[in-house]
Amino acid sequence: MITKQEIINWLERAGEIYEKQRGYLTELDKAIGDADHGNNMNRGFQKVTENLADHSDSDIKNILSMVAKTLISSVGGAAGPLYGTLFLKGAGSIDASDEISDSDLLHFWEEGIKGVQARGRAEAGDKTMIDSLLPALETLKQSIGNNEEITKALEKAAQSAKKGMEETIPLIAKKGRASYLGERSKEHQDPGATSSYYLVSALAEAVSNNSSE
Amino acid sequence: MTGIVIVSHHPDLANGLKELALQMTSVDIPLAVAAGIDDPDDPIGTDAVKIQQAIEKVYSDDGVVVFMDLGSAILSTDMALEFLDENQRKNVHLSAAPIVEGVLSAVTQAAAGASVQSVMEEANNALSQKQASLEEEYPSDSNSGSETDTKKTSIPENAIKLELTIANSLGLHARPAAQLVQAANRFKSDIYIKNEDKEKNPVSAKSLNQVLLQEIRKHDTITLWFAGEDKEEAKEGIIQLADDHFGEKTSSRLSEPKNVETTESDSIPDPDEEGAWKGTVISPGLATGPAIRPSTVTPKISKETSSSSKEEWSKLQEAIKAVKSELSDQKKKLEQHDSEAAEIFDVHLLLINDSQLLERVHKKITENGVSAAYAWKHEVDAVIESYAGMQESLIRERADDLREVTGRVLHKILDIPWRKISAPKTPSILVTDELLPSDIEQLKSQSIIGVAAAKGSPTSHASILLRGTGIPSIVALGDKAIEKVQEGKDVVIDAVNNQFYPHPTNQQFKILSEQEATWKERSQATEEDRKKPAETTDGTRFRILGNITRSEEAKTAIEKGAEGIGLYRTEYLFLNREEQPDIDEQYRHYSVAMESMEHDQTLTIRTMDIGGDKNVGYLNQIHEQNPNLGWRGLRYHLDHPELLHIQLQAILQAAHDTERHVEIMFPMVTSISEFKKARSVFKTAVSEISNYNKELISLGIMVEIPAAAILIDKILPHVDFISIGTNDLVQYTLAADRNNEKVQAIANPLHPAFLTLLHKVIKTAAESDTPVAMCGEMGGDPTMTPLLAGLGLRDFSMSPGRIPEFKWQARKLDMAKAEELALAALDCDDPEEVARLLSPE
Repeated sequence: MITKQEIINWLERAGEIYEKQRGYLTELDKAIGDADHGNNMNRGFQKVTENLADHSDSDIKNILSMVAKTLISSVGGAAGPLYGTLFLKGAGSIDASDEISDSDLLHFWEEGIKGVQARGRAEAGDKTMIDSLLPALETLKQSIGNNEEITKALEKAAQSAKKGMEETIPLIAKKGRASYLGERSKEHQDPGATSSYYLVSALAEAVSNNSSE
Repeated sequence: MTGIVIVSHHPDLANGLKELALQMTSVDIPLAVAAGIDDPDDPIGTDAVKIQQAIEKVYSDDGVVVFMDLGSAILSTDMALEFLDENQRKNVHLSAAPIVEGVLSAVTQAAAGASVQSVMEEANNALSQKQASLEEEYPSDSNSGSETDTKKTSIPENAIKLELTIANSLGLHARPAAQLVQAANRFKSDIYIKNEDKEKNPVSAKSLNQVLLQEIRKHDTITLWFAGEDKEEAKEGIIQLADDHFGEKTSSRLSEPKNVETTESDSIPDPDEEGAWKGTVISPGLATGPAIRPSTVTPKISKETSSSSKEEWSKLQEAIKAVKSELSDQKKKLEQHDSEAAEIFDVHLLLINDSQLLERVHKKITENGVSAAYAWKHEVDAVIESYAGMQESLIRERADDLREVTGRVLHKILDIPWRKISAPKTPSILVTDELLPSDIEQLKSQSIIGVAAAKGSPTSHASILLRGTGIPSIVALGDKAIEKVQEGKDVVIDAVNNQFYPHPTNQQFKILSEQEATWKERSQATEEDRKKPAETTDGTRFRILGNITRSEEAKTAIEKGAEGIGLYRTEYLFLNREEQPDIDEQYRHYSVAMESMEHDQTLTIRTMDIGGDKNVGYLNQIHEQNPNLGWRGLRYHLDHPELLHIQLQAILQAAHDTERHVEIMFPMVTSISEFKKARSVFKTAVSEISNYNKELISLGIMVEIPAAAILIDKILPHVDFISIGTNDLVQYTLAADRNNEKVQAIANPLHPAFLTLLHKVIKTAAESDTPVAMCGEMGGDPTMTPLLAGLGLRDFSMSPGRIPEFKWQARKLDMAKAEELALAALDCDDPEEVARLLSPE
């Protein structure tokens, strides 16, 4: 079971991480993209954090839709429509309520990631955010199937995302601006996969912190 | 009509493209832009919601084509489609065409009324034109992209033929080609075109890309074929268009490269904290009182009419005739005291005689059976829009003229009176959207004590006329400044400090009314003494001169107390027209200015300073990255000595005939060699005049380039006088554009570096007994006088309206203190320190 407070904590935590890692993300993006990913993600999530203040009475579905719309309009780069789609499709797959079940959470990620793939036409191994999201999803599915604790499940999912992120390093980019570089995109970690890892790990942190308190 | 949406990461990119594309057509195209995101610090990006809104804005069931730049633009557009209503979505198409070429093709095609499919197709073909034109450079890559070129088109046997030779100087480049394509699309017949000189295959003349691919240049012979039911009319239509040089004959100026002016009304978005708005001061002064708004009732126009097309058409012709006769009357009235201003009405007469426009209106009335008023308004609005979208302000101003003159015609058709400024009983302030030239005549006869206008510019016709009235006035305040002003409610115009208060508080109104009274008293006092010399407390005498733009202003300047003309900017004579003024016309203008002088006064006339911020089409100027550092002033003239020769001849002859002393001043001199070259042109001109009186003419330069100021000691032995142009000298010395808001503050004449340069010039000139004047903004600013006088300056030239006040202040000056101040200023580290010296508070 995930509570509304945990969702709020997740988003705020994500905002903190993107603010802190802004320079790093931009650094990664500078190598193989247009050096705006850190700023874009940070801008989007600071807006999300601001908007959360007006959503104290909203349910989880509403909050996640708000995140989608905010990211679409404020991120600016390709991450806007992509993360926007993740939240939009994800939010569309769950019920309007102040609590969601573990399987609802799984639905959120399944539908969201499906949406991102459709939008970006990216496959695993294309050196994109999908490369950390898909392994995370796979792990989450298994853990929930095995009736593991949600805190544990998310922690493992975050580890898988991290592994996926690191494995983008030797890949050749197939999508986005990095794909213009071809072979030269090798030996760089993908910024999108990195920001996606942060998103998953923020969720893991938010849920585990809350249950330990 | 097919709608078009431009999606880009950067608003400048999208809006620039929009502007470029709309120049291709005079038809009102539904075109919207979705660019950038709402983050003022970093606006680069795309926003799916904005894109959705843009699509909805131009949406009709005729369909919409969206053009995107790259990356997230495509993703965001994809997402925007999802947000759209399902029924709309199927009519929205995303084009893979290169964005610039694609949009330009699409706009032309859409303007011609083409279907969404053909707009898409045409856009997708856009790349091939560019590829074809680059093909020569990539011979190995043959056939790529030129598919459209090699595809054979067979001409139907019953087609009729037309052969033309192209006279347009740039051939059928984008705009005239667009005219041809639009005309061709008005006919049902199939129309084909072939460039005989380039051995091309015939292609459809209804497609812009195909026409452009024909690479039709000047003197090329083209063949056109017409096949279909209206082939005769089509041929006739194209002949007419060709006779009109594909729309370039009357609008060649419009196709020249333009400079972007950076200071326009869009840079004045909000009032200050006191609630006052800034604009452009036309005539200084203060006025407080109730507002009046001119009664511009937008007439109701119905599309339908019960009368026949013939009756509607004659209604329109009657109306035009009536307006023409009114204009002629007004012109005659004005001619008696200002012939140059009267020419404004010639422009108006020209505008409503536009045969192309009339033809379109006629077509609309006869073919669509609509009312004359509707057809007129519809066609005129399209023209106005295309003028208004122009970058060059002088051309944009033609939109104002056109709006006025066509508005008059419209009112005549509908038989309702053209706008009247209702006679107020109490002195009132006119608050208006824009001031029209015909308003000024009405102002004079009524108790209007101030004018505030949302639109306008210092060089518009209305402003020129307004300046002549001396009524305190500010224009270009922006729409927001005036929108809530109610008739009868008090407003305040402080055209001394460039402030307009649309809703003054009681407190403000009271204070400003008192200031108004003081200003009136003061201006009365200064006016009374305006002809007395400007002599300081210790008897130092200043010479106060006038800056003028038009010959008639010389008289006004002398009347205002000028002791001569320190700067006659002749370039106004060359602007805003189709061809350059000939020697007789120049002679007439120069003579008028000279005759306004007393025999002991001097007129300093500056040879044409075109370039920089002023650009003239017929002079074949080139488009420059940085026109202020470019081909302007004497630089241009030395490359075209024949033009300089004509101007010098006209000046010399006028001086000779009027027997006035004239100083000829060359602008933008960098080195003395340039002056020497100009002088040899002068000598040739002199040799052509018999019994020439040498005493009458002096030759000098405008010191406005730092190089000339630094080497002033090398220049002075060769010239009779110099005049310091501070506006340019400041911006060149400090490398800051005075029209660029961001760096305007850096272009501060109080900078000690500039003052040091100024001091060197003035001192060196004084040592060699060479007269030195100052004719830039700085010279006319009374707060600068102590500093300038202290640096040794004695001759000040300024706009005539400033003279009475300037003299009044100068008379109170203490020279000993001024010299102390100048010395202290030269010792300062930065302009702020100098400013503190000037106004210690």
